[in-house]
Amino acid sequence: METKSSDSKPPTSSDHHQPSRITRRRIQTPASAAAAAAFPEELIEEILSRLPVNSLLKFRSVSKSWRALISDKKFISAHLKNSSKNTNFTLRRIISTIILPYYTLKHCSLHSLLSGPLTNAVDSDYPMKNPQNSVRIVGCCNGLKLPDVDDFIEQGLFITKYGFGFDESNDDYKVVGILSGFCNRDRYETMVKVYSLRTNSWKRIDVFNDGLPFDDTAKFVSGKLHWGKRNGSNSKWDIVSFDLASGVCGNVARPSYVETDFSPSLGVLGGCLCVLSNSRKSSVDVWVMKEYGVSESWTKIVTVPYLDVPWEGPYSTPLCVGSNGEILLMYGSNLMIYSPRDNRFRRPKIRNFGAFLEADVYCESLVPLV
Amino acid sequence: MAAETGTPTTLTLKSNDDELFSVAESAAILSVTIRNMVEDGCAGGVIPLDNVDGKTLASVITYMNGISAIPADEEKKKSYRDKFLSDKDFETLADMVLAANYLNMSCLMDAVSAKIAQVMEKKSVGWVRRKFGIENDYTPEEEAAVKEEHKWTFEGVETDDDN
Repeated sequence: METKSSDSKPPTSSDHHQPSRITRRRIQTPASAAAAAAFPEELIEEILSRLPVNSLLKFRSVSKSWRALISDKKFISAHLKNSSKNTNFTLRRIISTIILPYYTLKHCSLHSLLSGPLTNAVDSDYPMKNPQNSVRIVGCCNGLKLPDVDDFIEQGLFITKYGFGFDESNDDYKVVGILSGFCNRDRYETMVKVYSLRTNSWKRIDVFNDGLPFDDTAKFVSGKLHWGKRNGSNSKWDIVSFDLASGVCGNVARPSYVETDFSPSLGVLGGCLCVLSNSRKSSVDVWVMKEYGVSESWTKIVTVPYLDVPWEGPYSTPLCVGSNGEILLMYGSNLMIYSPRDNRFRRPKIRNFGAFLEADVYCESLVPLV
Repeated sequence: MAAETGTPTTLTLKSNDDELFSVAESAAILSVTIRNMVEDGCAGGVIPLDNVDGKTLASVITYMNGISAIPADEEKKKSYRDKFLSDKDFETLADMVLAANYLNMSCLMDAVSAKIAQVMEKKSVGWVRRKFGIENDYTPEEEAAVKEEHKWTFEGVETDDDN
């Protein structure tokens, strides 16, 4: 048991609201309430659920009960929830596929990227790491990365478009793959299959018969995967969704803006579906669906002008918006931060990084895959 | 205690070491525990807070007054909380999280829990055991095995200065 001195610190000059003490009848130095034994388990949980993953793994050595708590399923989901709520991005990281000199996955801290002078990127450790294999990020969900190696070649079919997400009602991770190729000698075929981690098998599903989405990777929001899809032969487009739990396809209302020739790209910002629309190379608008499924909630949050450098760009996936309104976007095969407040651009400096194919934001978590 | 128009109601709080504090009701009801007492009409005389000592209660009341003086602006409230907690040591923070829990003040709970997490993030396992009063119930072999599983997490651990 620890005790501590009862000497009160002199008030600091920042304390403008000193409480008015009516009496001062100290009997005796009280034992500190913080005496360790007084910490109820729910408070320990409350505190630990705010630690980054590597600190939690380190503190498994504190005691058997701490180790049990940190491995507990309920604790892991509380921790993930806290990490996702955290708004200064200290628990978020960016992962991207670097293409040169060969395909690798690298990750770095999002917080440092937005507010630090220089960020260090770290090579990702993943199964099947091999310079001969190419690797793609198909989506991030609950802090898990599923690098999909092109080993999934079935009967001459290649997976051309992907989606990855978590099916909460079945407690299962699923991948939707759109496969295309010449499977029966000369007939070009396309089929859609869903992979379930729980059953470890692929199942063919009957969707997208009226045309395929134009987005390569789906965006996971609200239990559903989302792609952009052209509506027939005209230039109109829709957002199509695939519900991982029910396997049902649907449409999500899109923002109402004037149609342009360029295909919009979908993204996820702060857990909300977003659309980036290019207006003839002069600027892009970022729309966010603040309340999922409510078409009136589409809001244009920022317009990002193009730099006058024709060979760079274009802007694609928006990755995050900081509390000061700064937005991080993919810009060609680099990253760009735009501050709407002072209309300024900056390129984050990252060591051990390079041109990349794609990038995504994820939350570190303790969630085991199986 | 019905307030006259314009006269703010004041409550008297008593710590477990018998210190008395007066605080505006509008600030004190940030604590759901106190708010319930007020609503039940038990706040007429002195409100005894048996689980909070005078030093901690003084600090909590400083926070109550400070945060309720800020209009509904989450960014300003957050920066007040950051500043309020910035110079507190582990023992003070521990007292405050217990008090916030007892008083049922979720905004203070969140802020103090986050601050404690930030303080302990880079500390050693030994530091955490000492500060939380936890007995090491691993055998040396078991502890070595647990550490071995995630060796890399022991890089960059601060040397203990017991702050």
